[in-house]
Amino acid sequence: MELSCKEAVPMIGAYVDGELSESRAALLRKHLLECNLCRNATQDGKSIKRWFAPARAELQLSAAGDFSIPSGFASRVARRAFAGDTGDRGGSEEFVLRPVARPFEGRTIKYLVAVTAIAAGIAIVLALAVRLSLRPASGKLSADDRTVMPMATILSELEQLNALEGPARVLVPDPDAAGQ
Amino acid sequence: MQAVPKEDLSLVAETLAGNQLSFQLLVERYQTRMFALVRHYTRNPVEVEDIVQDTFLKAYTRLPGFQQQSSFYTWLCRIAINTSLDFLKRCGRSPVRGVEDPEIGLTAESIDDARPTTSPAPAPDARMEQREIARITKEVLEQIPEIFRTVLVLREFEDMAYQDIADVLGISIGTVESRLFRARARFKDKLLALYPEFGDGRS
Repeated sequence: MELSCKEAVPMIGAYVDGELSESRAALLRKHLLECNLCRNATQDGKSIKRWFAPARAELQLSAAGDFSIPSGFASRVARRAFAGDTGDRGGSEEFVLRPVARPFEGRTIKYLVAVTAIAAGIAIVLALAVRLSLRPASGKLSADDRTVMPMATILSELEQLNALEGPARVLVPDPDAAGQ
Repeated sequence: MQAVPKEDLSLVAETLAGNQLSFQLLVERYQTRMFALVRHYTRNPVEVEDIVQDTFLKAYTRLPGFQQQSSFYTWLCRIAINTSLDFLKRCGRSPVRGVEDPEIGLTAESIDDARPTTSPAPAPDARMEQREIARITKEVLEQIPEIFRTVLVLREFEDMAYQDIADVLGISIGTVESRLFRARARFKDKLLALYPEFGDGRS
């Protein structure tokens, strides 16, 4: 499967964040090797991320010697909580916690029975399907999961990508250097 | 003091059993992160303190309903964000909610955003002070709609995995992915609008 730019671009953020599954990352890398525009978009994604590193470091610095948490805050809050202060200030409930599903309420039992019945049906069908698939097939034996690539391929793709990206944008500073 | 810090869940259990000190330990453990999180919604220190306090008070009230499907921390973040938004709404500083519905994700009309652009990527200048970059980043963040600010804050400041962000906001991982994608695009646009000089970074 080949990715179009429209499919590739929304994946770039997750790719830069390291949150893409390996199979989706492999698809994207393949596209990036061929598409200069999306490669630039990936560089953009990395640049945007770079804005946050110094900001995060600053925040951690100020949190380390946090002057703004009043002394005795925790004990005071615990005391109020145990004295019955609920923290609800009469605001609208719209933004307050959305209800979390509560198990075992009236209709839930019926629902569970129905789901169990459906699951049982699916299990039977699956069991039959598995038996069928275990029969010797006529086709050739092959490893057909093309999404899992050998490590060597992944590495060589990454090297090619690095080579392509390398000199284009060196002026993007090292975030660590910015703090010095 | 204990040699090994107690797990959140045992502190939760002890709190539910009526131990006030255990709840105090939970507050102490997370107060710094909650203050930092809430500061993204208001700068006024008194308001921040009120919101964080109410966050913990609500957490205590709702502790029996804590499902333990997510970590105590992500559960707390969820309460803190909702309390912050509720607070802003009550004082008439209604947070800008997404005008376009972000839940729709990348469909139909929004798919046009999903093409690679050739506009330059703003990148902080190496000569700039870390403090200056941090100030600009905060300024830009404060000017983008809350719905986008929140995902960026959870990802970039709280360093949360997509799954945790999904838990905090009660949305799917796919929505986290598309919302972050659009949040970064908004961040970049707003940054370049406020500081066009960073757009020259690529020449």
